[in-house]
Amino acid sequence: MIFTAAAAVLAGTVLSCILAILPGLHIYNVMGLAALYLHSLNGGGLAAIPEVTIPFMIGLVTGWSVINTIPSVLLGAPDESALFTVLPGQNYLMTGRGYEAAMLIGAGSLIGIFLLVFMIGPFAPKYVPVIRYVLSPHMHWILWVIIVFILMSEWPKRGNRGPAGWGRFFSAWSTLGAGLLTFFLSGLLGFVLLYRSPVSIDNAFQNIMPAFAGLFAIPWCLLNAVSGAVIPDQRVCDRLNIDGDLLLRSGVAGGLGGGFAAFFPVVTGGVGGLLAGHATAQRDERVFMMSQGVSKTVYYTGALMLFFVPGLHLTRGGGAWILKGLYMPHTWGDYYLALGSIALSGAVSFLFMSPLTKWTLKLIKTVDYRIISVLSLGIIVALVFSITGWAGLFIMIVAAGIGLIPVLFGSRRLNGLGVLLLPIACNLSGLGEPVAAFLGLQ
Amino acid sequence: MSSAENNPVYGFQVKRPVRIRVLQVASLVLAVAGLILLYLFSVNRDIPRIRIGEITPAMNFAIVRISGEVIRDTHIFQSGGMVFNLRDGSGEIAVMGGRAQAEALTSTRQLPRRGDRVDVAGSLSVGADQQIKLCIHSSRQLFLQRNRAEFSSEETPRVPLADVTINRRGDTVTVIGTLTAIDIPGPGAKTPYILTLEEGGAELKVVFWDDVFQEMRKRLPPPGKTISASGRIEVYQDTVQLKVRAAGDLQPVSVADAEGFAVEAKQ
Repeated sequence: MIFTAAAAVLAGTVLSCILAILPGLHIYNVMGLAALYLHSLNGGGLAAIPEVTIPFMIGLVTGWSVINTIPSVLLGAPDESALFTVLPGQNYLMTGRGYEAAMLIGAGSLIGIFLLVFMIGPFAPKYVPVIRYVLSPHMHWILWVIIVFILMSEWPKRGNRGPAGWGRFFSAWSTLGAGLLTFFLSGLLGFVLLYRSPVSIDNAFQNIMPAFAGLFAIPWCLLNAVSGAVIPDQRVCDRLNIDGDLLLRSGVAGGLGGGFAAFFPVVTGGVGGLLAGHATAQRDERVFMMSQGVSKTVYYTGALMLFFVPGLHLTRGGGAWILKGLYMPHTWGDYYLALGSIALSGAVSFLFMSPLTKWTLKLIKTVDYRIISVLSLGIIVALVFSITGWAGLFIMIVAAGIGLIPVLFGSRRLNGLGVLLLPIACNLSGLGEPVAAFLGLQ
Repeated sequence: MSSAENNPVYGFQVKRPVRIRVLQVASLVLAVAGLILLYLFSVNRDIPRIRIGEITPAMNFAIVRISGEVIRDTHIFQSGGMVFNLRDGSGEIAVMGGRAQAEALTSTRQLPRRGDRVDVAGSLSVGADQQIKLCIHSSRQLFLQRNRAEFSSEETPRVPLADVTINRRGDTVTVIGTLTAIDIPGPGAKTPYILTLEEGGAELKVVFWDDVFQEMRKRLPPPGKTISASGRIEVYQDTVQLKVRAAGDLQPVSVADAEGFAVEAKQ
């Protein structure tokens, strides 16, 4: 059985490493499709074996959380959790050091896996239930604090110069206003999807997927498809300019940010990255980038790991929600299987990091990455349509319209997270029902 | 370059170039218009009605409507949330609500009880452990049709307290007596409220849970008052008791009514 499980982890990891190269494609979309296939197998009387399904799915998530650094840095197309790696990544890329940037963030991901397996994993069953018990009554106001932090930490990018007056005032507020508008509109979209989703009930478990694709993936693909940046020759190095001190600092900041995102409901990797970034950004760009790698890996993989903690029954993150429909972990054996799968997949995917980065560098030299972006756009649209149908495409287009606002106005794309944060924060505070009634959604 | 000149790479210069600001505003209009259309599409669409047996794991989070018969009384948790069980002939489902929904249903005396028919909308929660739940978002999305036949004091036989014995276990009856003692559960205790009634030297414990107490707006009749209680005769730890399921089944009665009832019962 151990070989079957190991083979399933490796299969999931290899598949996710290939898929992670495609900019904009999210692993949860692929997992959703896999879950539909497994449900259809169950419906046909063929039960999927948990010892294969669990490691395979964990391999998908872990491998993707490590390797998705490559499109973030080299193709400028991150998922929501890696938004903050784009700017420093592009700086490295434009000075011929894209490989180094990708490997720095990859090193952060490796630290994240170490944190999960050797530090959080052994203590989680004892302490996470206590933390959950203590924090549960406070979730609502903590979510509101996070929302305020996201909105207030946006800064004006224009209006610093020129004569004082309304012109300068509006110029300064254009980015801030666009950020607030993005948050508000995506929040309204979230209310519609939560209370009266147009997605067919037969595939309702993926009803938020078209919104995420539209808010985050489609704008990147469109932007990359119309931009024409020329990438200079890249240098491949065999050493990274980091030491134990830098690794430790990035591990602490990224671990806290990613751990926070993994534990709190609807707080995603992007928020974890924001917190980790604020803890490190002023000090050292290398620490910042590595902390982003730690944060996104701890978020994606950690949220899935918490699902397996015996007796905790905590479902956080899209991966855990998809798995919940396939299997409910009950035993310590499940937990050990999950931890082992994370360790194995993390190790293998980091080994893939260097060759895949080199391969992608060669690819973007020979193939115009605008073509890659268009190809990715096609795959995303096809996935959304195949799972959620015309209604899903409609949602995706509306969400893409909202997701393009920060792109065009230069505000922070993280504001698109209002799609989850606003309705859930309202619900936890007891305001969801009156707001939904006011909007005519009940 | 004048407007007449042609650039071999970029094409000719147009007379009135479009400002990027115009495109930005256009994107805003597009996003808002799309959202409005999506909103109209969603609110004008009926919530799909399904049978419990048709629910699949891929329907997790789906907003659906289910009708059926309540097979277990509503239970109010210490956290303030609520749950009751529903059956529609194809399966059973637990219907969950939060504190807000429980309070709203309690205040309008709409907490479902066994035997009631319910039509309710909410979001499905389906796990691989086959525990299917329907989470209601609003008390307004629950329509209740009371089944009064089982517990209505008008239709249940009235019996003297002395006749409430272990032999009548499972019967639904109405009794009248003087309230002599009130036992209120302590904070966090998982015990029921117990009223002790006395009539002609016979005593009977009338028990009910917190949902009934909430339905009574947390007001109990004072000791010495004569009250009528309708409910099912049950036995708990060798003691016969009357289990009341709704606030309406506990009513104060006048002394004259009580005496009339006593005469009627003797005859």
